[in-house]
Amino acid sequence: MNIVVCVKQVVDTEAEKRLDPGSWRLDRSVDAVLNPYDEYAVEEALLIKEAGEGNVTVLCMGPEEADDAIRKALAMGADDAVLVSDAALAGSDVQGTAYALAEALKTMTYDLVVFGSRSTDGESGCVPAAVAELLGLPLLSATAKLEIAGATAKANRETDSGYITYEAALPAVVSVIKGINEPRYPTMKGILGAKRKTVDTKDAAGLGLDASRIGLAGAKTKVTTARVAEARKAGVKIEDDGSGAKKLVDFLAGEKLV
Amino acid sequence: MTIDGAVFIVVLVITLALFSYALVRRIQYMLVGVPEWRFDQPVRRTAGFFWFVFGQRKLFKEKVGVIHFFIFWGFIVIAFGTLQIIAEGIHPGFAFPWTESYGFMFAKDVLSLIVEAGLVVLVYIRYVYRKSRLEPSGEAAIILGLIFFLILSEFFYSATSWALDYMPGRDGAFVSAALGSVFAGGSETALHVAGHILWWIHVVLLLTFIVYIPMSKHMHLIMCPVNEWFRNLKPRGAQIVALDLENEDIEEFGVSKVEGFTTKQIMDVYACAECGRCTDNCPANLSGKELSPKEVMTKLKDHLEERDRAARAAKKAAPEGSDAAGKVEQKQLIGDVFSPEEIWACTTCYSCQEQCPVQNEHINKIIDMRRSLVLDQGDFPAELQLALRNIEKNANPWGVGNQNRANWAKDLDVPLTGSAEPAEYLYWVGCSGAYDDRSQKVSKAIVTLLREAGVSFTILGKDEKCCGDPARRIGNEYLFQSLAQENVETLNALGVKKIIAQCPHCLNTLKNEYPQFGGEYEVIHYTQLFADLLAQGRIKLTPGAPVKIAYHDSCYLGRYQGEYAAPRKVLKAAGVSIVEADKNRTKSICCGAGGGRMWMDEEAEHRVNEMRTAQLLEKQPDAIGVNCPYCLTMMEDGLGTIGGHDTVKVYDLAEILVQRLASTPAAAAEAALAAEAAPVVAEPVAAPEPAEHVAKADAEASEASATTDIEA
Repeated sequence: MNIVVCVKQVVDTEAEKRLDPGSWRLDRSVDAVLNPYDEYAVEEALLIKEAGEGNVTVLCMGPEEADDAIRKALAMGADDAVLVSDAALAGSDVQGTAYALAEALKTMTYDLVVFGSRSTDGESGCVPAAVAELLGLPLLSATAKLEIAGATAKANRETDSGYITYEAALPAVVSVIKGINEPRYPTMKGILGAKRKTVDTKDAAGLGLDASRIGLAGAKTKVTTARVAEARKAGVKIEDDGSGAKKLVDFLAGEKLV
Repeated sequence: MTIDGAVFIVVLVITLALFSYALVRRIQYMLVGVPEWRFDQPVRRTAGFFWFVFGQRKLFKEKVGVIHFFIFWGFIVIAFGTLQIIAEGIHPGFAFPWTESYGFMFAKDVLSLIVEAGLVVLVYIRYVYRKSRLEPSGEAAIILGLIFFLILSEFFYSATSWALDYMPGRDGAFVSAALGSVFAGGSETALHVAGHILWWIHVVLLLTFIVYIPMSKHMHLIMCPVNEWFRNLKPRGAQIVALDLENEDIEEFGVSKVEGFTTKQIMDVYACAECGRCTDNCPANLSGKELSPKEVMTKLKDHLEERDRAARAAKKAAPEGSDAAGKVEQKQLIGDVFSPEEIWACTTCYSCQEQCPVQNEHINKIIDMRRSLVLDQGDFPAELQLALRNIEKNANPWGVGNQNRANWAKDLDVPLTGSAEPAEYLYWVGCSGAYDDRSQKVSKAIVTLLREAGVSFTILGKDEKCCGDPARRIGNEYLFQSLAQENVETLNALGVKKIIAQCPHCLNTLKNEYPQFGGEYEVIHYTQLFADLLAQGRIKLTPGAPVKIAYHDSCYLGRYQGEYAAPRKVLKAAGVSIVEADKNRTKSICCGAGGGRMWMDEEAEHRVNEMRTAQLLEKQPDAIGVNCPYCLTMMEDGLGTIGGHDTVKVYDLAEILVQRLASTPAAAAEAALAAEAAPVVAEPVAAPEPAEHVAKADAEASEASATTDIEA
């Protein structure tokens, strides 16, 4: 079983994010980490590999600095890594990114492609679907439980009201949600091993990418503006001086909640 | 030579052979470890050897230790008497010169009587009173019985000699003489036969004892003195050994098999006398958890025997010349010998090692096993994974954005190091002081006090990272070292020389652990600085209400730094009356948060913080005084769960000072109020503390420090 896990490097959730007001692109130089959702994807791939046999390859598109995120995935136990990196790719939107990843995947052998359900910075959650479409593969999205039996992938999707079970023939694309597993903490052996591994880097030319479909120029969507959400206002504090209950009811009634 | 003598020599040779066999086997067990022999500072080692072995200094922490002192010295003196008895059995009429000395013989009998009385007390304590730390074991009974009857048989044997007039000039042995005078009228043959029998009883008891030494906890007679010489001479806070993480040849990080421990670590097991002082003072054990530091030693000892037996059995069972021998499935250290619960229960409070009379080192063994679980097996509690990930990503265990580290000081205009005039001190706030709402108040109080005293200082802001104390004690040496290297780099680049630490854990790590990574700074705790500033009159206080503060010694300021005086000086200067918990200073009980436990779940019925809070509440204080952010959280949580937070508050010492600062209107108002309410009790600032308990506690402290000074 050859599994490819697509990962992204993102700015840490807690970090103060800065956008370039010209391109609205994110300053990725601060507190970069492996996208937390991708940790679940890596773990799921490792669990499948450990249950049988196979090889886990990490595929990442990003700047050279994304090496840190790749090493993290390697430290967790991934076997190989491919980094698609090119200045021409900077600013790609969902379709540009999916196109680059799909072209990279075409050069690799795989039975299963695993994604985290979304990235914590772009938040579109669409790349797995776009990649599946470009490769003509079935997609099992928002997977809460994954089973591989022979050449079939069986996935549970969590909905507001329950679970839906899907099945698809391999090769397939799967995106996994938070909580599908407990991502492992890298061991020293993993960390040292990851340091020694070489990352196979590919550029746009190497993959034969069509320049008109990638980068800021090739993007079919354009960010027009971005602003920081207003800080939440302090709540109303009701001190109970005997009339607390009445004040509570008045407040809820005033907000038309009761 | 008599026939007895000849038989005796044969038996003696057999005894010594058995003794040597048992001893050598245990030395072989020790040698399975990674070689570690500490031969540095031989003069200091030798001096300490005399102080701790012949002076028995660590035993006097408990009153009962005086009995051990007399048994120890009794043994040495009585041994000379025994030599004489053996010699005259082999060669009648032979006398060693010391037997001619009235003084020696007198001393021998006095000590013999004291030892007998002491043994009776010990039997009472162990088997009747059933002191919690002692096991009413058969092994102890054998040893106590052997010693008791050894001395008794000597008395009676010597009495027959005296009665037969074989002991001219030995009247100093007054017990034998008194007994002998009772027998003096008896038949010479009867006395002769009785003496003969008693001689053999004495000799057999002695030889049994010799063989039993290496097979029992009395191995400590041999290994404790050796262990004392090889004791750890590093400062307490610098005893965790750094792993070489660059070395790619290392196949295993941490210790998962007994062979992974060092020879010295295994030596501890044989120095252990199983007295239980460690377990008796262990917060994990006292709160009902599985960990017992004594069992860390005894389980390892049993495991060493067991694996040797298993290896021998496998060798026997294997066909001649096959490779199967030696390849026996041995028990796992983690899982079979020690449970993960035991390994994770330790708060690294150092009380076990503080109380241990034979200088054993329990904590490093636990940290070594944690290292294996974290670095090698990746198998450890999920809460700790979260704390470690948070530290990795945002350099603090809470995982709050690193860029918010100086938010607490936003309105205070505290200068950042590097972007301001060079200041005398760097104020190291620590993660708690920076991010924890409650501790931020303490940080602000410290800033107010530093400004009041005119101390120039800066903070690092977001360049300050977690010091690494929890990571290292959880066993993640990799994360600790990367934090240490980053912090040392920052501090060295800014040319920092003097640091004031808010958290005793940061204090210890910066002061004692960073030198391993090229960071040499003068680091003090803020209570130490404030004690000085108060003495110099640079902080002026107004008397506040005469409150009773139950002061709680934190482990990392107390046991680790030996600093018990400065916080008490601060409290005295603040004019409050200090009430001491029954367990204070070197015997203070941990709040429960050290060793990474702050970040772990604790079962409701086994909470260390509730136990400690209750101990402090027993003294009916108005407030609890602490010097460590972990203790602050744990004591407040303790009050929250066991009740009492309505009437009792927890204050950091800095807050108590700020409340009484002469320059703040709040303090002035409070002082006026106090003066009105209780004009008689309000004490002048810095007046000598009249309360008796304080003076008494101080006396205890100086006594306690006397026993540890030599190691300081």
